Amino acid sequence: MNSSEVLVVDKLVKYFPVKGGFWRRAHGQVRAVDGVSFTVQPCQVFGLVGESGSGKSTIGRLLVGLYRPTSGTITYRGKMQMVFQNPGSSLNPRRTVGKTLELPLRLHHKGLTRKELRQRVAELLTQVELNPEYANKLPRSLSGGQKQRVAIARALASDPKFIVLDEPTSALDVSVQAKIIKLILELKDQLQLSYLLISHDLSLMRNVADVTAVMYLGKIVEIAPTAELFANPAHPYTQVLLASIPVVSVEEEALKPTKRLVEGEIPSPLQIPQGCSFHTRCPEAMEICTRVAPELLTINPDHQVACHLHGKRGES
Amino acid sequence: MTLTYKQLLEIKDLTVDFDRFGGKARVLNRVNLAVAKGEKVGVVGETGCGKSVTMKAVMNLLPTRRVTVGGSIFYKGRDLLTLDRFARRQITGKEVVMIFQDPMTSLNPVFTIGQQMEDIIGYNLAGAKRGLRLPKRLRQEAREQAARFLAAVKLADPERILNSYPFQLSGGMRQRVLIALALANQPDLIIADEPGTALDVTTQAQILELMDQLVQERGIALLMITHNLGVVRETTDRVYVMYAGTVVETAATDALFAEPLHPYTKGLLDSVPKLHGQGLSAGIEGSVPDYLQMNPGCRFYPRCPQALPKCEFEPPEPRSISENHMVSCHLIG
Amino acid sequence: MKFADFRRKLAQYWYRFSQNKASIAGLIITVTIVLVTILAPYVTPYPEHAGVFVDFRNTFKPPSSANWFGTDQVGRDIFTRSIFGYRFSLIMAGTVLGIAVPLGVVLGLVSGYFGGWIESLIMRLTDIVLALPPLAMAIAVSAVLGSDLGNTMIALAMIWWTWYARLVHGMVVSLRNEEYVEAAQIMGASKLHIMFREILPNCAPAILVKTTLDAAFVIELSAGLSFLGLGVRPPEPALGTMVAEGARYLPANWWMTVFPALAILVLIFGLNWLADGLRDVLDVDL
Repeated sequence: MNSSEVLVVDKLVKYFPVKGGFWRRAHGQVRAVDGVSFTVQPCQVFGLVGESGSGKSTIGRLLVGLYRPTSGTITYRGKMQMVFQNPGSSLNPRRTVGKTLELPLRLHHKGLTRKELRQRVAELLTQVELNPEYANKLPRSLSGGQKQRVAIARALASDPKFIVLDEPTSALDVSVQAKIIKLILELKDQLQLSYLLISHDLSLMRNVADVTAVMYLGKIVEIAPTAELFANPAHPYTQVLLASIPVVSVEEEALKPTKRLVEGEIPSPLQIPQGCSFHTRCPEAMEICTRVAPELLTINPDHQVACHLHGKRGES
Repeated sequence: MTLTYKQLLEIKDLTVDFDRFGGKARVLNRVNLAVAKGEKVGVVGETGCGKSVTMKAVMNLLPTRRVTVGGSIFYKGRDLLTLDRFARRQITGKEVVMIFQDPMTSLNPVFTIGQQMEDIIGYNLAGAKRGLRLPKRLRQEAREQAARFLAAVKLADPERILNSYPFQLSGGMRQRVLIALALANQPDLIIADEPGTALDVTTQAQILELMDQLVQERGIALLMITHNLGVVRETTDRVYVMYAGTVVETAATDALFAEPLHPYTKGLLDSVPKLHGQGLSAGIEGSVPDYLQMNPGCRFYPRCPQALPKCEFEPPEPRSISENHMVSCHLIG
Repeated sequence: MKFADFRRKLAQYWYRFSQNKASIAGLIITVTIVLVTILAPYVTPYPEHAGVFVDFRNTFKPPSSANWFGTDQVGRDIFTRSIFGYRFSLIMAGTVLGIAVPLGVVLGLVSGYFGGWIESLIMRLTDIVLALPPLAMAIAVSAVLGSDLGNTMIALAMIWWTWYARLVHGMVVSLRNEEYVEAAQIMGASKLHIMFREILPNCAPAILVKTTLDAAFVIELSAGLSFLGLGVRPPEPALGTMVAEGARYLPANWWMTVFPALAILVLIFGLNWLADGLRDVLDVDL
C-alpha cells in the first residue's frame, strides 16, 4: 500500500455457489465480481456505476466484510462503514434512533457513561442536521430523508475514515436527495472522509464522484476521472448508458452521445458470455470480441478502458 | 379548460378524503386534469403528491371504506363517478387500461403468459360472458391474437413466451408482456404508473421508446405518472406537476421545462442532478407535509422560498399564463 | 419516549384495535375470565363447592336465581365449579406455553441465525416432533407415567415448541438479511446482541399473536384430556370433566353439560377474537 492511498483493492474476485437439488450441492457459480482492482485517495469520492447484476453492490459488501472474497485483497486504513440503500430497512423498526446510535458508540468507545453516550448521540444528530430530540423517536415516525440522516450518523459514530455509500439516495425523492448529497459532501470535507459511492444514476455520479468506474457483469469496463469519462466515453457500454439517461434540459441533451439502442438486457451472471461479456449487446462487436476478453488499457492519462476497439488493432 | 368532447378524459375538481386516525385527510384537493384523444400526458410529482390516488380514482381502485370522493371524472363526456359498477367496468379495464409499475407482481406467477393473455382476449371475443369456458375455436383465435400482440411489443419468439411462466422472463420482457396485455384490450387510453422504474436505464430506454411508438401508431392516449422528470420530458406532450394533492402547474412539456413558473416546479427541476456536472442544488427545504395538518392556504407555503404573507391563509387559484400554461401561485399573475 | 407521545401511540393502537368490534369483545371476555378466575374464592357464590362437598337436598336443581347454572348430582353449584374449572384451563395454557414458547423461540432464533448444520439439526428435529399428534402424545405419556397434571403439561410443551421454532426460524431467515442487521454486523455487534436485540423484537408481535391463538388451542385440548379423564383428579373441577359427567345425565339434566361446555366455548372465542385484534394492531401476517 502506497503511503497516500486509503483503499487498495487488488484483483478482487467473488463467486457465489449456486446450490440446488436434494443434497444442496453446488452446481454452478455466479461470478458476481471477477477480478476488480482500483485505489481510492484520501478525501476522494470513488464512484461505481452499473446496472443490476453488475456486481457493484457486491464490491461494497466485500469491502465492509459482509462477504468474504473468493480471492484478491482489500487493504485500507482506519475504520470502514456503510450507508445502505433502503432507509426503510436500514434502521431497526423497533429501536429508537438513540438506541440505534448508541450501539456503535458502545462498541467503539468502551466505558462511556450514560450521560456521555446521550451527549454523543445528540452531537451526532446535530452533525447530520437533525434535532437532538429525535433520539427518542422510532424510525416509523421519520421521513425517508430523516432516516437516511440517521443512517449516516450511525456510520459516523465509530469515527470511520472510509464510508461505502450503497445507493444512498435512490429510494428518496429528488428534492430530498439533493439535501442528503450536500450533507454527505460537507461531512467529507469536515471529517476528511473518503467514499465509495455505488449508484445506477449517472447524472448523480457526474456531480458527486471524482473518479468513476463503469461496471458490467462483474468487471470494470472503463475507469476515468468523472469529467473525462462523461466528456469522452470510450467503451460502447458507457456510451449506451449515457445515451439512455432521461435528462431534463436541451443543454444536457447535447452532452449525451448520439442515441444508439442496445438490444436485449444484461445476461444472467450465471451465464456470462465468452470473450468480452458485452459483445452480445455491443453495436460495434467484432469477431475477436467473441473469443478474447479485453484487458483494461490506458488510453489517456488516468483513463482506462477494456475494449478491443481501443486495443492494438493489428491483433484482430 | 373548456368544455368539449375533444377531451377523452377530463377530471374536474376531483377531491378525495381519507378517514384516518385523528381526522379527515384531504389527499386530493380539487384536481383538474384532461387528456385529449391520442395525447401523451405526464403527471409528475414526488412521493405522496397524490398522483397515484388520482389514477386509482379513475380506475376505481380506491378502497370503498373510509374514503370520500367528490368532483367528476368524465370519460368521453360521461361522468364515471355516477355510473354503476357494471357500466364502469365496461370502461375501466377495457377502454382505459393501466400498466402497473412492478412487472413481477402484476402477472400471476402460477399461470403461463399464454393462459393469462388468452383469458383476457377470449373474454373480449366471447362478448364478456364470464364464467363460461371458452370454446376451442375462440381459444385458438385468442392465442393467435396474443402472439400477434407479443410480436407488436417486439418480443422475439412469441410462441416460447406464451408457454413461459412470468418468472422465466426478465424484467424487461415482463414489462413488454404487460404492455401487450394492455394493448390486447384495444384501449383508447393507457395509464402507465412509473413505467420502467423497476428496470435498468438501458432497458427503461427501450421500453419508453416502444410505448411511444405503439401509442403513436394506434392513436392511443397515454397518461403517464412518474417521479422521473427526465422520463416525462422525453415522452410526453403536456405535463401536470402535483404537490400535496393539488396540481400546482400544467403546461406543454417543452414550455414547462424551458420556463417553469411555480416555485415547487423550479425547486424540483433544480434538484435533479444535471449531466453537465456543475454541482447539486440545495434541493427543497423540509419534507412533504402531514395531510392531517395541511396549511390552510397554499399547500407549498411551509417549504416555499418565495412565500408571501397571504400564501399562508389564501389558497391560490389556477391562473392561465398562456394557452396551455396554468399555474396556481400568488406570485404569478 | 415522552408521556404525551406514549399516550398518542396508545390512542393510535386503540383506534386500530377498536375498528373491529369482535376484538373488543375478545379483550373484555378474556380479561373478565382471567380476573374472575384469579378471584374465584371471593366472587363465586359457593366457593366451598369447588372441593369435596355434598348436599343431597339440592341435587339436579335446574338453573335458578340461587344456582345460575343449576346443580349437579351431589348438589354442587355448577356456576361456581365452572369458574373454578377455568383455573385448570388457564394453568394448563400458562404452563404449556410458558415452557414451549421460550424454548421454541430460542431454538428458532439459533437455527435461523446460524444456519448450516445447526439449522438442519434443529429443523429436522422439529419436523419429527411435529409428526406426533399432541392428544395422542399426551394420552401416551399419561398412560406410561400415570395420569398426572404435571406430566401431561410437560408432554404437551415438548410438542408445542415446534410451532414456535418453525415460526421464528422462518422470520429470522428473512430478517437476518435486513440492512439493519447487516449494519449491526459491520459495527461489530455480538451475535447475542444481533439475535436478541435486533432480530427478536421484530418477531415479538407474531409470537404474541400466535401465543394468544395457541392459548385457545391448549385450553381446547386440555378440555379434551379432562373429558377423557386425564389430567385433573376429582373433586378438583375441570370443565372437560364436568361435561363428561354431565353427559351421563342427558338430556333431562342438560344444564350439567351445556353450561361447562359453553364456558369453554366463550373463553376460546374470546381468545381468538383477541388474537384477531392484536393481529390488526401489531400488523402481523400469520
